[in-house]
Amino acid sequence: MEQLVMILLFVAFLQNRIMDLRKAVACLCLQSAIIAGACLISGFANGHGIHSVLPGLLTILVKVCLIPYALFRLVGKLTDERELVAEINTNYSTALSAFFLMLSYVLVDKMLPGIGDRDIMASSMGLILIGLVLIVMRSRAIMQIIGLMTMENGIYLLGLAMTEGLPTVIELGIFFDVLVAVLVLVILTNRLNVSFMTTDTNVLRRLKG
Amino acid sequence: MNIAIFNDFLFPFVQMLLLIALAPLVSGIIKKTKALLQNRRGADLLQDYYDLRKWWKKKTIITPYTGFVFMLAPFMYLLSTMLAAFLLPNMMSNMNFGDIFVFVGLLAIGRFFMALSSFDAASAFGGMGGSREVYVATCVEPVMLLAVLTAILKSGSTSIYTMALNNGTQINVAVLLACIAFFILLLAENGRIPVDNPDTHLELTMIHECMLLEYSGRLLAVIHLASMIKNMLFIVLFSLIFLPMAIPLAIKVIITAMGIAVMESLNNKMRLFKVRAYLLATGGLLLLAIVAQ
Amino acid sequence: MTDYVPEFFATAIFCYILGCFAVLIPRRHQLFAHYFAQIMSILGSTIIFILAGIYLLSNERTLLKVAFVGRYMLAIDGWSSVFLCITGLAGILTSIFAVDYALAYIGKRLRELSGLWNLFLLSMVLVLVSQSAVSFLVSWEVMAIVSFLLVNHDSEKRETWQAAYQYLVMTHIGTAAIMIAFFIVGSCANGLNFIELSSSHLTGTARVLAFMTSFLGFALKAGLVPLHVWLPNAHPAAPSHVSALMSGVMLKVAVYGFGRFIFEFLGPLDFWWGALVLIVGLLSAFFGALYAQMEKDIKRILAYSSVENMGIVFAAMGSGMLLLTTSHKEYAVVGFTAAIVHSFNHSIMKSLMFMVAGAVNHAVDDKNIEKMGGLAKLMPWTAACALTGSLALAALPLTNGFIGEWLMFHSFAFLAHADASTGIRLLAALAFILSGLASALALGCFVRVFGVVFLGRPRARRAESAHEVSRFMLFAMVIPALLIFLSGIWALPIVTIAQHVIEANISAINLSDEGQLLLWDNGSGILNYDTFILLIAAVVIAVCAWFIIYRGQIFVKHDVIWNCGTEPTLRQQYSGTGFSKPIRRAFDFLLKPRREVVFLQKENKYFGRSMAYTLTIPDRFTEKLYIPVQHHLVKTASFLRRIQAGSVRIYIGYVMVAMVLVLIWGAM
Repeated sequence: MEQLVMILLFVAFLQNRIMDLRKAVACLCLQSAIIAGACLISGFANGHGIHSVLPGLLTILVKVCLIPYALFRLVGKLTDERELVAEINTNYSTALSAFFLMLSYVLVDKMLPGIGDRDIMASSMGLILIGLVLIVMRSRAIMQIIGLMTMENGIYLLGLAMTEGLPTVIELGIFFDVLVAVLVLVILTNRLNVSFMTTDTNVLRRLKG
Repeated sequence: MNIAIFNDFLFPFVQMLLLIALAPLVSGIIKKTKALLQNRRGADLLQDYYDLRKWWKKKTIITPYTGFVFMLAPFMYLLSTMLAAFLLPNMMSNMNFGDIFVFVGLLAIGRFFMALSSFDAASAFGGMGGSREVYVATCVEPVMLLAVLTAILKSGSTSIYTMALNNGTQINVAVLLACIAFFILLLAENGRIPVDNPDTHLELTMIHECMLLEYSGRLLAVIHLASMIKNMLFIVLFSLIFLPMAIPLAIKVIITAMGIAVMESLNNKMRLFKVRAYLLATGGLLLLAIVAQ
Repeated sequence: MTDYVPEFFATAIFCYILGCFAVLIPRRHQLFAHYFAQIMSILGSTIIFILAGIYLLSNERTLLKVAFVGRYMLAIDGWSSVFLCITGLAGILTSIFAVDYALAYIGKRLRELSGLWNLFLLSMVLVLVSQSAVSFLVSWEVMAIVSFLLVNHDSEKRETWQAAYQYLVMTHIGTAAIMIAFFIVGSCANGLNFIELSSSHLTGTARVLAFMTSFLGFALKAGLVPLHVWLPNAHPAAPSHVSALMSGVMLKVAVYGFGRFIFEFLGPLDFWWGALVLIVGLLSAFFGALYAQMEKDIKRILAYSSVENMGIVFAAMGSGMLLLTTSHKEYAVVGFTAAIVHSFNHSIMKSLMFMVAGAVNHAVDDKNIEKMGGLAKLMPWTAACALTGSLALAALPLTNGFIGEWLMFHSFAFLAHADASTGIRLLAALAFILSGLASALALGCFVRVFGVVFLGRPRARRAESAHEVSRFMLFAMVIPALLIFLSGIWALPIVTIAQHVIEANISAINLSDEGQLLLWDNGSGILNYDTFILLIAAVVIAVCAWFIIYRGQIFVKHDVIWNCGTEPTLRQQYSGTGFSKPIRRAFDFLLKPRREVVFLQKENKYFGRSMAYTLTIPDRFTEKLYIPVQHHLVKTASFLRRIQAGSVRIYIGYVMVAMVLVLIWGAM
């Protein structure tokens, strides 16, 4: 499990440095697959029967298949947006992500000293904060959706690490929530594209009161 | 009905009628003294009675513009001054219900109606007289209330009767200041020099006369009688409450009347907008009197 | 009789609610809706008035429960019954007036006007019977909003909605202050019912803060200087019957609230509290009367006169509060009685005058008094009622306006007596000076109003074609005129009832041995104003004098007046602005009028230019106090607006920073 978490962190850092939209979505897909794997492993370890494997399968279905498919379709419509604003952004966001990861390690050590899965907890908190960083630092709508998804993954991982598996109803609820959120965001990004010919959220700056 | 109550009610009436009858005489004393000071023989002491009779016999001219206020105002003025005379303390009965605030208020009724009537004739002079009268009232009334406060503090009550009882003969700073201040107020309220000239009808100098400019005949007689009564009332009030001498009331009244005449002869009428400062100074004197008690 | 009080009260409330539903009646029956709503409000107000009257006359001192709404109890006690009486009476009078007056609003949302009218009365009644801070505040807020909607009725005109929004903002500031006061008091008590709040133990700064905020809130609602700026704008903007009700009742509800705080919640009073209330009241009286003389819109004049009279009420309350802190506590009764009696009288007088203003407005279709004149010939009954109202508002004896002022003067006299210290004496002297100025200015103001509007010659064409108003409106005006004289002459019962109410309310006063006779003890000469004797004397003298004076043919009609021998023209007649010129000049250091003379073209080569002269009196409170505050507020807000950068990412960045900070702080 710890190795999986290490790979996850690596992928998250990688996400920070990707500029291209398709590659970013692919990276998200990879991230979600790792989360699904972690979920399956924890499901096998903690229980038996179909309802222990169900969350993992659902994760694969929703987060690895459906959502990246929707995102890919959306990216396909945005034909002339490939590059992001500047490369300075990536350095800053990487530095910030590292700082937040360190912060989350410090927090976990302070609040829950001597706990077993210190790595998982710290990295899930770090993942949440990295997701926030992605949302703040990126100006394209797709990247912000990816940041949101990263946050969701982090929260899910945190929940996974703290419990032995959430009740099925809650898991279903979380998935529906995520699914609907992403669908809404995809629709909105489409509208954004139609209205403004671009999904750069910087143009929305003019819309203040 | 108890004969005592009947007496109690009758005697104030009798006193009031006496005051009304003597009011033109007091006015005559003032004019005679002024004339003597100016080295003239002057008119007869009873000249005001003759004037009233002369006006009474003539008819009043009214115009199509004047309404009921024009005709009602002299009557209300006279009524208010007579009621105020009714409130003065009575030597012969126990019915002493005169409150000084009611007294001041009743005189305000007269002023209200006279100022209103000045509008009714739709002339330029009427409005001028009315506005100046209201202005002088604004200056005078707070100072009058301060004088009332002085008297209240000295006597401990607001009844005129009690104030008259408490008018002793000791002369200290407070009493002297109050006396001088109320004398000045007397001049201001009754339209005497230095606030207003009661003898002329020139536009520049008149306040009270200006309001009456359109009146003639019997109504004019009523108004003049009412202002003479008001003059008399103030003199009586002054002598009762503020003048610290232990002589009979009639002599005090005559002395005060002559004092008014002297003041009128020695001063000239001041400009209208200086009245405010003049009365402000009087108010200062009264504040000093209040503090000094 | 008191057993049926809850049923009657419920009937009254039901009448009001039915009247509110007039809004739902379809538009083509709007006349019916209007009549229905007005009849409901008349019924409801009558029931309330009778209930309050019964309670007052029965001399009870205990709380009389009238209803339960959920957890909240509604009850009448002495202090609120006085104001319920005021509400009921003014409600009846203005509703009768509105039956015909509001017909001018047919087609202009008449149903809303009548329906909201009922809601307004209902909310005021609920404020007066609330026994819990929560129900009080909810009813207060409903009252504020409904009065805003009523003021904003002609919302097409710019000055109407400007005035209405100013009123809305200011009344909400007042409500906020009152809420803070309630919660401060409630934080030291067991709960938010009035009974529990009465037994709260406040100390130190909390007490001072509670007093300041409650005074601020209620003074704003009552229209005391310098928080009065909404009054002269809101009253002309509203329809006349709404202004009558607002001025007659809503301002008194503020007095009710303030009295609750003083008597029950705040405990023993400090010296400077009473001094503050006294001085603010006196300044309001003075400035209200002063500004009233300068205005040329008849409703603004009446609004400033309301400011003046509210100043008198609060000055009387202030002197009562001061007297409570001296050694002669029983004299405080005079001050508070003056406040209640003057509130009652003023509601009658001011309702009458606003109704007269509405009638004149209706007849001449203009609010500017400089365009009126000579209306006494064309509208004699209205003029007679207006004369009565003017007499009363100028506080002349034998009318009821005199009684409140007379009692106030007496309370000042007691103040001067009660303590031999120079400070209180000077305070009493100041009180006399300012109140004397206020009453003299009020007299001048009403001479001016009545004279310019009703007497003389018409100053404009529209005034020549005025007509007398309809019978309903006349009936609604004649009743208060009669009441003015009745309650002016038969004043003793009213003052005695008020005195009982006060004595029940102030627990600090132990009644003296002769008990209730403190005020009217003729023998000891404390206070004596026997109206009946005065009336009898007046009647006797009047009859005699009338026969003597007016006997025979004494009048000769001519065409022109003397006018110093010149031919009188219409322009020679004094205007209202001219009439108040000496006062304006006397007080120009306060008013700072601005004169502007513009020379226009020359008519002739050598001499004679025509010029235009403009005189404005700026509202110095608005300029010196409100506009700088507004300016600073807007500047600060613009400065803080930079946070709103418009970029979503920055907003999320704020969230992120906040979250990180919280995490760091949680870790430490």
